[in-house]
Amino acid sequence: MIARSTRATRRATAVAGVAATAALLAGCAQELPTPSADEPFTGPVLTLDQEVAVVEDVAAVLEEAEAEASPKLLRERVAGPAFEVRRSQIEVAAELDDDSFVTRIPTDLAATIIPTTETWPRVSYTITQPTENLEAHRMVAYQQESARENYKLWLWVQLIPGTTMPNFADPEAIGSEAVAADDDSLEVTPAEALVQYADLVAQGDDSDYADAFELPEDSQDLVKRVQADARNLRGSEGFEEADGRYRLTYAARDDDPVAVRTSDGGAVVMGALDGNVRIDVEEDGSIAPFTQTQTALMDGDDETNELYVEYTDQVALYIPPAGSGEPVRPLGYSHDTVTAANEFPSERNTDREEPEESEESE
Amino acid sequence: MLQRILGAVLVVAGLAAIAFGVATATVLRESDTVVATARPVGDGTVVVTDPGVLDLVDADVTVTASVPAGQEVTVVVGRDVDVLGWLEGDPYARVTGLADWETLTTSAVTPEEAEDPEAEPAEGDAEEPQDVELPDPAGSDMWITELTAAEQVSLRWNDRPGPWVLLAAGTGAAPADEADEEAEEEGTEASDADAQTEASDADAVAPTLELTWEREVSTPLLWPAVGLGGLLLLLGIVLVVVGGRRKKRSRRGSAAPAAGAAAAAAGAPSALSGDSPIAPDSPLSPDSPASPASPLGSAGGASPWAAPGAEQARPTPVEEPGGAWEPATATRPDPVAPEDEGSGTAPVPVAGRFSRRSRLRPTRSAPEVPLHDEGGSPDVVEEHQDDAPATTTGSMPALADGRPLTRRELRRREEERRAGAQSGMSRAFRALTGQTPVVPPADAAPPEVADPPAAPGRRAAAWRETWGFDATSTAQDASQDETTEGGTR
Repeated sequence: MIARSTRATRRATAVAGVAATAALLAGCAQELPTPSADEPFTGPVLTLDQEVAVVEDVAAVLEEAEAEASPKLLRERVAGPAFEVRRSQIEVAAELDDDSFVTRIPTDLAATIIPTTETWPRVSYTITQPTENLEAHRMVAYQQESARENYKLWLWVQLIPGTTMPNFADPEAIGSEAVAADDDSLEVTPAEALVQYADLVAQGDDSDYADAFELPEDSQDLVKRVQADARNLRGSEGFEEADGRYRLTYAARDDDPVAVRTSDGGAVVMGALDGNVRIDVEEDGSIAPFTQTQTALMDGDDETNELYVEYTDQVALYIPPAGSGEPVRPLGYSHDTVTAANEFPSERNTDREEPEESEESE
Repeated sequence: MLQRILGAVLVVAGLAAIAFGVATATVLRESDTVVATARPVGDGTVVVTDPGVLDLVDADVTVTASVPAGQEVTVVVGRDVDVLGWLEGDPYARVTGLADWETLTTSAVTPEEAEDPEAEPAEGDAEEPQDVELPDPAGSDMWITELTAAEQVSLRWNDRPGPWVLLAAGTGAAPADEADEEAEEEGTEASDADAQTEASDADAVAPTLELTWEREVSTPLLWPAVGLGGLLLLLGIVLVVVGGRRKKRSRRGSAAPAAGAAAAAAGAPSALSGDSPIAPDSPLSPDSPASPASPLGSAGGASPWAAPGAEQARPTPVEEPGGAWEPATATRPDPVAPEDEGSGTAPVPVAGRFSRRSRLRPTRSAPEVPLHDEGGSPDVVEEHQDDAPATTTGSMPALADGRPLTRRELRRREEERRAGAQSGMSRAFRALTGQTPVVPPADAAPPEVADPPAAPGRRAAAWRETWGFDATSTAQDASQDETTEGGTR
């Protein structure tokens, strides 16, 4: 009996062993993995390498277009205000056979500002190292208008010497938030800041917004420069006698501003201002272009008693966060003549449907 | 019996389990690489993997995209948002996962859904415009990596954090306007097979994706199976051994009475010869017992045994050369025979011939008999007696016989026993066949009878064997020695 029971036990053990083996076998089949999406991206939309590639690609296109004196080539990598300015620069440089009229955009970067924008357009910014000629740092904006387009040079400014740049988020780990043109978390919306700045440029200290801006003490910003030009001309000899008039108009482009958040909650806005100068003297007088650029742009037209010059000025402003009570600071500008003519056109670049232009005439 | 059978079964099962375990880690082991293919579906020329597909099996993936000959294919990797944004609602095929280890699941995404990548992909919509030409994705600033080549392109991707997706696009080699014509044709005859065939020549087509991962193949069964097998093996061996022991024990129990009976039957000679050594022999080496001999012994019983045993032994080696040791032992008796007073009884040799086992076994024991008998010198016997207690175990019947085995004999028996034990298989089989039980009783008897006469020659024979003299020569020598010995004496 005992023997039989032990035998039975053994048999049971054996059966259990077989069952265990079978179970092991069954469990051995590896399960198919299913895709598990990682956490969505939250950081910068470009890596530093990609940004550098963009910068270098743009620089290559700039160089080629300049070498070929063919602004068409710029289309691939340049757009917006930068395109207009660059086209003008290339034409002038070709006319004068002097490439010093073309702004250098170095590829050596001092800083990058990468957006976190998941939609389009996206704008990334770089701050370049000074060129060999010790020109100022430049802040450059590259905009990708749609997913199927590449980043294109959109705006650039020369930073005002001595300006303190605000801090931006780490471009590699965090990225910077884009700020809408009508963002109200700032002392003044980016779009409005540009409008006010345009007024300030045109009217100088007489502007209603003069107090809202803190202009650099020691350096020249766009306001100072334009106003200085105006003063110089008005004060020039014989201008009064010739019954000369110097009318300066500036207006912000309302569709171009790009803005990015700074670390302190403020923003840097970059945009373009359209400006024009109408100068006329008495009927039998004549006005010569004031600069080589203007001369080149006149394209050999005779001098008349009228001179019309258009500017496309790219500017960068720092707007402090709302409630800080701080003034807006100009960070940089690029003052470029894009048109010169010997008569006033019927339509000017500062024309707006709702004219926000501020005019100073005398 | 059953125990031993079970033991054997367990041993086999254990070996099988071990073999299986090893096999899972070798021949049955799954491939180290997973190669999964995605066939494009839908109207688009683009195939896009879902986030998480690239690192489905392993972080390192090699993606191979191929298109028909003469066309170009581009593969890029980008952030999911960027890729979907780039697609801008154009139809594409979406790779959603693995259907099995060799196939990727794909689903067509139509423009409406593309806006919401989370939506359930619908079947390709026939109303969708055919052959939507997408621009070449190559050259976008957004891609982390991109490759373009004719017909086939292979891209290695090492996954990094984030929902990276891969986009493969057939960019076509035909001019765009040609493709447009094709598109128009298909607009009118969407189902025209010919048009589509032509189109495939000219238009970009969605590439076929092949994702290859290195996979770490675990061998989860290796050690469990080997362990289990080892366990079974061990258990089986234990069962077999234990079963064998039990059998021996039981056999010994039966052998003892048989010996007693034999002794009784043999009468005086048996008592004199005290063949007891045989009794112990049987338990030690169950194989050795000569079944036929025993009945003979009990029957014929007398000292004459020796002679017949010897005679019988002689033919054995001649007829059947067996193991090396067999002839030796078999021949040994030969020389003895003549000297033996042994008026051989007829029945013995006959019995020996009938059964091989009987032939062999008795021979082994037989030699001892004649030798003993022949030697007859009291010295030897005494010596034996003296030695016996020391070398033999208490249980050994040797004592009962009164003539203990010499040390040499014991040693030899032990060797034989070992030799027998080594051929485990035969033992096991015997155990299975169940023939053994018959043997033991027989075993004991003949030697009993035979032993006493063998005494003197036995030492010489044992000596020869110990020192490895040739079997046949040993036999001859033994006979000579014995004769001389006898003569001198």
